[in-house]
Amino acid sequence: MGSVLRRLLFFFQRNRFDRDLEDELRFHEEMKAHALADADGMTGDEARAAARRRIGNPLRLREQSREPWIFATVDTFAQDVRHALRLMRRAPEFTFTALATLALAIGLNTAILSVAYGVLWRPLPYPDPDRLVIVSSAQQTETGARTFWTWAPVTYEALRPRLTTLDHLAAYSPIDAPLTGRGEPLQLSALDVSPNFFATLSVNPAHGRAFLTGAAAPDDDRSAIVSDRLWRTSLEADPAIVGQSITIDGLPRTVVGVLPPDFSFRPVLRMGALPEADIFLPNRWPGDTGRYGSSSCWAA
Amino acid sequence: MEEAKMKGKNELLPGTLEMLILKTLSIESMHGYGIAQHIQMLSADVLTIEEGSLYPALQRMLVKGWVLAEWKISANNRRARFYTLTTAGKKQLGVEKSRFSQMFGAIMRVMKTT
Repeated sequence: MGSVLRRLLFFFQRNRFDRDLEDELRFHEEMKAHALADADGMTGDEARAAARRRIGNPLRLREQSREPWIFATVDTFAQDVRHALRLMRRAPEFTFTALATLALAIGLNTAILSVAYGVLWRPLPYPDPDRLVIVSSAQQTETGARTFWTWAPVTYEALRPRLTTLDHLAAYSPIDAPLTGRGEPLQLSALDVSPNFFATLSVNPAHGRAFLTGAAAPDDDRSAIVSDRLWRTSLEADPAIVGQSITIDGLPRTVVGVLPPDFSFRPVLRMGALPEADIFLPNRWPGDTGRYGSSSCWAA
Repeated sequence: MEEAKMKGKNELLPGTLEMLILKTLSIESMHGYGIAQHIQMLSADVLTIEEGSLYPALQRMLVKGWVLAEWKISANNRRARFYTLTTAGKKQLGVEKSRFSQMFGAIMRVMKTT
């Protein structure tokens, strides 16, 4: 639309517009004064004064001449904003207090909700996340009924054949895994996991495979699956990493898989969230009766 | 003969002022003062266009693209802003003329009935 474009141009040429109108009106005034001087025989000054009077209020004229050009709503909004800024500058303590309060409130809210999102609302990064549950046990103790989030491996082994409502039952236990033999020794956060851990989460490594389950599980006793981050930083993102050996806790282990970059396992329990694990080691906890800091994660 | 600010002067039918200006410019390109003089003279002083109406009207027509404005030297060697009719303006003149005739005819029909 031509008129809208022209009005936009006006927006950038406001000063020139005002000057043009001023010059135009001055010319008009002179002509009128001239005519009056000729017709009514006034002197030069009288004529000019009379002409100016007859032309009328110059400010009003300028307002009305501007009117077809401006975008009225934008203009009034801009006026209001300018007025508000002036008022704010005149009352600095109030302005400062108001701004500080706003900043604090907004900052706090953002921080709290960001954390809440990460913990509560962000969808789990696995397929079918609403089918995953963490299982705890409720037991009677001397101090009354208590909920336990950790399990003894023997209990886990005993429960596995008795599953009715769940498809898979996996177990994990956070451990420290010193990695040596590849440059500087590293202390890694790791997870001991049951062989069906990745199957339970329905996660497949990006390279290689998940751990073997069932009868073939013992073949994987010296295997390891690494995180994408570890692969990129310490293993030089070597595409032929699958099948190579790395030393964990003094023992050689074969890398059988690299996880996808977006994989994350950080369940939040009463003790807080687990650190992000870089290595996953299969463990069948043979005959282990101890209670570990472990919990089970299960797919229903 | 002071120019009283009679309300009557502003009671042209809406659009009439634009029509008069467009017609004036269709004869010849003029500056604002010239337009007002032209109309005043031809109407035998019946129609006096106030500056307060003239210049806003000219601006409206500039926005709508019916006229163009240019700075030129006037007859008495002064710098003035001359307005020229555009093609769109010419078309608009026709529109305004027919609208005015329609209005005028309707009014006359009402007034003629005794």
